[in-house]
Amino acid sequence: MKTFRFLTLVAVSSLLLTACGAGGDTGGPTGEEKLTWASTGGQFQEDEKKALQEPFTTKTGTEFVNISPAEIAQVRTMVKAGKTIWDLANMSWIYAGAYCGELFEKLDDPALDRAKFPPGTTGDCFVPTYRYANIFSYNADLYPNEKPTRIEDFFDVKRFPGKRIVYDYPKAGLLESALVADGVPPEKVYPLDLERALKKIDTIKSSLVFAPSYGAIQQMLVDKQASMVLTVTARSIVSSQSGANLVPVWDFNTTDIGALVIPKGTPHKQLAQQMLAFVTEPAQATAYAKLTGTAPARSEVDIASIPYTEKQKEFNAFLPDRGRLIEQDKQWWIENTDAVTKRWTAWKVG
Amino acid sequence: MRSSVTAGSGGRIELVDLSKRYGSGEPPAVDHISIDIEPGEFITLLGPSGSGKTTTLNMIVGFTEPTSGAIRLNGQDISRLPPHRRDFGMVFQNYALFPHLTVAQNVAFPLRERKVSKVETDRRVGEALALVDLAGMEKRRPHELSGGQQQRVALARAVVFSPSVLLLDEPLSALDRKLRQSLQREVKRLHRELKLTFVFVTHDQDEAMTLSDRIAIFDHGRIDAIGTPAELYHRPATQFAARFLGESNVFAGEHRTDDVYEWRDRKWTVGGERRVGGNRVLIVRPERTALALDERSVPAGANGADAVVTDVSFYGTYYRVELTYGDGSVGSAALPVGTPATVSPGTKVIAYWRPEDQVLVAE
Amino acid sequence: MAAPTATVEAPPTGRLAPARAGRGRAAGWLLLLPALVALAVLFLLPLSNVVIDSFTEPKAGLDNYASLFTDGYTLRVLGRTLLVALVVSVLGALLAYPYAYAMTLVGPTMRAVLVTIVLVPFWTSMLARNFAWILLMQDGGVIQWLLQPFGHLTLLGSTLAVGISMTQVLLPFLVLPMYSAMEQIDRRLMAAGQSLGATRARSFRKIYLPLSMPGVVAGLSLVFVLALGFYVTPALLGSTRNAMIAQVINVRTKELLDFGGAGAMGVLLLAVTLLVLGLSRRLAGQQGTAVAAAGAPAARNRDRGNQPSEVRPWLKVYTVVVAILLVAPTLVVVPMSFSSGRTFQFPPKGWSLQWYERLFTSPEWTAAIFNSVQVGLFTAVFATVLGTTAAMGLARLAPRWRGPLNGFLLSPLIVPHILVALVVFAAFLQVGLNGTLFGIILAHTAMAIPFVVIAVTARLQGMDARLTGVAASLGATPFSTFRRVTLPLLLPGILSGAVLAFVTSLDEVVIALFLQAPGAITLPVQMFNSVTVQIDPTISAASSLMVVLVSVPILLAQVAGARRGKRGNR
Repeated sequence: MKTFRFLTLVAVSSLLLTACGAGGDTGGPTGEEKLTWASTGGQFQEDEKKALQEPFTTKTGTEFVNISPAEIAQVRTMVKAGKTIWDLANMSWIYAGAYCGELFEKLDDPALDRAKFPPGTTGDCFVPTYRYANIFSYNADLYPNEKPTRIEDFFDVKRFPGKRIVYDYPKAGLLESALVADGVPPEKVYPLDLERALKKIDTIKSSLVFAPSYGAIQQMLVDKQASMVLTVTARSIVSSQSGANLVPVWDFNTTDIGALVIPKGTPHKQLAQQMLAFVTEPAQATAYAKLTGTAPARSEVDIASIPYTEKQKEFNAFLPDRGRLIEQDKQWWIENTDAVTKRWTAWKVG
Repeated sequence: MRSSVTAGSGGRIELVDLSKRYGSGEPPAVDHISIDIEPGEFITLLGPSGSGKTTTLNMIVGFTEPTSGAIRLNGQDISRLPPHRRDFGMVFQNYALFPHLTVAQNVAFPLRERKVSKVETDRRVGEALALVDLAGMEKRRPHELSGGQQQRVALARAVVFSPSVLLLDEPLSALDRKLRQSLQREVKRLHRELKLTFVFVTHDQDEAMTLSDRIAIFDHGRIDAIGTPAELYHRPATQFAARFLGESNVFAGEHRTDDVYEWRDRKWTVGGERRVGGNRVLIVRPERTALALDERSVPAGANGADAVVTDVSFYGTYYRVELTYGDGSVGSAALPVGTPATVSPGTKVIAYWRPEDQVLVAE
Repeated sequence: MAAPTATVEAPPTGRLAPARAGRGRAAGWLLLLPALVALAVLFLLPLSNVVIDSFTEPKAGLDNYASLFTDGYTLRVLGRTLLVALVVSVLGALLAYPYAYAMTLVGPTMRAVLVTIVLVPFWTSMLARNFAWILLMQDGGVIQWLLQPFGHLTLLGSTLAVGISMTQVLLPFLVLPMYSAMEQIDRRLMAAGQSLGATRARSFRKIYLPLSMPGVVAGLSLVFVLALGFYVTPALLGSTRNAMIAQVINVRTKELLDFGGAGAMGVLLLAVTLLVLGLSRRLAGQQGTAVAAAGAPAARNRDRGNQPSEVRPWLKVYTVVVAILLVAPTLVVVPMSFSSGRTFQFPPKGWSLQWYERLFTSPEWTAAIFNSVQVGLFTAVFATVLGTTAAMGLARLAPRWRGPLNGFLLSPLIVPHILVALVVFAAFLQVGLNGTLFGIILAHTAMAIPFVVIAVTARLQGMDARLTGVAASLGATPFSTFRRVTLPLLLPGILSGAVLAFVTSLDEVVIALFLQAPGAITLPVQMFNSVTVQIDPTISAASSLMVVLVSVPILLAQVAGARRGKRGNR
């Protein structure tokens, strides 16, 4: 009875508080000068705010509303409902390619001249905003004697026992690495022989850990639960900084791009494209690269001019002498992701 | 003294052609019954399970809506009134006290509903609890009381607001024999002191006989017989009433002529009996039945029937002798202690009685 | 005995309870109406889109359903999910039953402590809790160390790890209904059983167990259904190789945009769950009649304040073990929050207040906590009102209506949250409710109604149905009867329903993620976003804070209540 009275009191006082505070909560973005930006959340989005959004606000007065995470399912729902409330989304270019014109706006602003970007990194609906790599590295504490030096070592659990952790997503570089380790020359990796890759991965399946989030990768690396990892540049750096003694193996790695895309039907398409062009400009790209350890997208930016920290340099795949690198084939992934994901899911569960 | 709890005058209840049917396909639970209950009367609705007595009570209190007929309180039709506006006190089987309230709070419940002042409430709760000998138990919770105490609280709760009628639904059936007898006295005393109209439902014939001014015997939704306990016992109007109220020796013979009732090879005198056609059974109460060891010992003018003793048990003031008659039917005789009891199981006897002690009723 | 009288003479609804049957039924529908409308608008209507999609996307026909049976893994995943849910609920029940029983034996103060411990998993954020399990179960972790004698066990990534964590977090859902049912049992019945010659064990099995069955069945079916929908725990502690159905549905919608396929899986899951529930209801129904028969004497001598009695040594040990299991992750989360490391550490290698500093100095975190508490309280209030009236309405209906409507009221538990999130997001977009706290409250209310319905129904079943009639005969109006009799008697059920509703909202992340906008970010969303790309131990600080903020007042209120109760007056 007493508890009940107490709870009632709490409930009532909270109702009052809400009633008082309600005015401040509901003011949604209605002004013309606001862009809604959906991204990954966490530190990554903080870096986006600092390096990309703030300069744009200073320059144009456009404010940003930040949302996270950016789910493709939500984009589809918004577009289907005819109420697109996001203007820019940091989202896989695969969707932008697969649903170009359907769920995403085509980029037609002349400022987004595709010639400014490395070949094979653009599409009708996307341009790269930064470049990164899927990096193979190992925990030096766990291999005090012989160290892994080649991609084949990732698939050799006899010589190099221990868990390998990979983000639970087929495009995380594992398939390409498997093929190269199986003897396919890097330039012949695409079109990807999925079955051959899975067959190779099967040899280490019981040592593989599929991480549901980047946070889990970081936690497991720091706690020495995994001895090898295949993950993206920025996450490798963060894991290393938070205490995992990671050493990258520059033998074979894949590179990819990050993209900001524009959901179909946004009322601010032009402004969003302006922002997109602004993001790729050398000043912003450099500032962003410096914060995240990724590489600028436009070919014109000299990577040597970026004041990376030592740690960032250590994990940067775009600096000289980084072994064999291939850019993940945009067109192939756009065409085949659905089939690959289905096969991948069935293979994992099977 | 207990002025405020004592209502003074009881209400008059009339049930007029009352019926209740739960489903169209089912037989009626209550089938066109009519009773006038006098102010201050103690009436008992007696009957076996499913005979409609509780349904009748539920219609009086308002839990069940009659399908047809009327219920009048002091001449006013109350059959459409919701229960909380009928102002009847009710006592339930298994007490039905509010478990979350103390004894005092339980008893005060109806007073609070009637917006009685705090001071007045306290006074009347105190009086009501004193009335049922529970003074000092105010702060207890129901689960801290014995069954008998709980039922006393229920009684106090039902009379504290001075209703004109008290309805009791098998209030004593959950108690053991001894407690039941002491509470029967309690209920009788309450009736005497409060002068309320009591409507009492039970399936226990002894209880009905001990307590009631009048008894209405229910059978299959109808009132089979109604009358004072003595009338019903000595002059039962139906075989059902006779069998239900007390023990009986029932003989299924043939009423051949006005004066003769034939049972097996015996011809019994039926002088002074009403003469109605059709099959009738002859009923004799055990205490009116005597036993003889041979034909010669049967007094002249008495009617006798052949039987075999199957059991003899001692009841303090009498022996109960169980009999199986020549036609296989079972009956009994109650022999006063002091009579030379020489029978034992297996003894062949002749049970006999005076013709004026027998009753002929429709089969 | 008069018992036969009661059974033979009674109309199907019971001797006195809703005696004016016609009027009672009408009132029943009226009481059900608000909850039915709320669920129809907030849940059923949007969800019909998923069902339609499952037949039309990408093309019309039964292809989506056919592929469930032919793709070679959906059935296996479903089977695994059902098995895990079954094992978790049964093992959980075995753990919970003695604990709940012990709760009825101990004195008021100890009971307050036990109740608080049961609730602790609720206040510990799902994410923080799961990371705590990761630390406990990883190689070189505490559990592996404890299990050393049994050899080298790799827990993390196994279904066992998932099962342990699920059992722990679902335990409260078993303990609470069981306790609610047991509290209504008169223990003197067991003494009576023994006096009639039954052994202690036999009288427990023949008398106590059947009487406590409504609570057991309620808890079992609740946990079974909840376990089917688990997503975060299997994702973090298990491996995608032994995925559960919600994970596969998630991939379908979030990565493949295969709404049709996901919808078909959702419908299949719904169908299987309803089937299982129907069967259990049937089982429980048989139990139920037995209980109803025995229930009358129990209700008669209702013994709410069962006197404290001796707790046997084995039960003491068992209770302590279960209590440790209940608080284990929390005991990891709290030290974790004082760590000086940048990832989760247990035991921490160094100490610092940095995460608390961050928590209190960051407006996002404080706003998120405030928002969550608000959303939780409103959800609790709305869901409690709707769920309680619905449960009371349900009790008045004819049995043939009761089953299906009960199923409908419980359906929000079964449908995977990701599907609900999508359809609610679409619906709220249209009416401008997305991105508002009010929208989140509405969605959470729909999700929380089932918990209230379950808790209140369990209580109603144990209540002496005659008491409302008794009150009426004593002059109480229907409203007064409700206020003075029904409400106080149902209160424990209503309160536990409210707590469950609050918790549902407090830990719900999938729907809140979709409906969020700046200004409408709840604590789980803030937590989720802060650990998606990298570890942020601030979540352990936030979670510890919540545990303390909620547990301490609840414990104090209960102890105070117990003290007052001891003095004998309310």
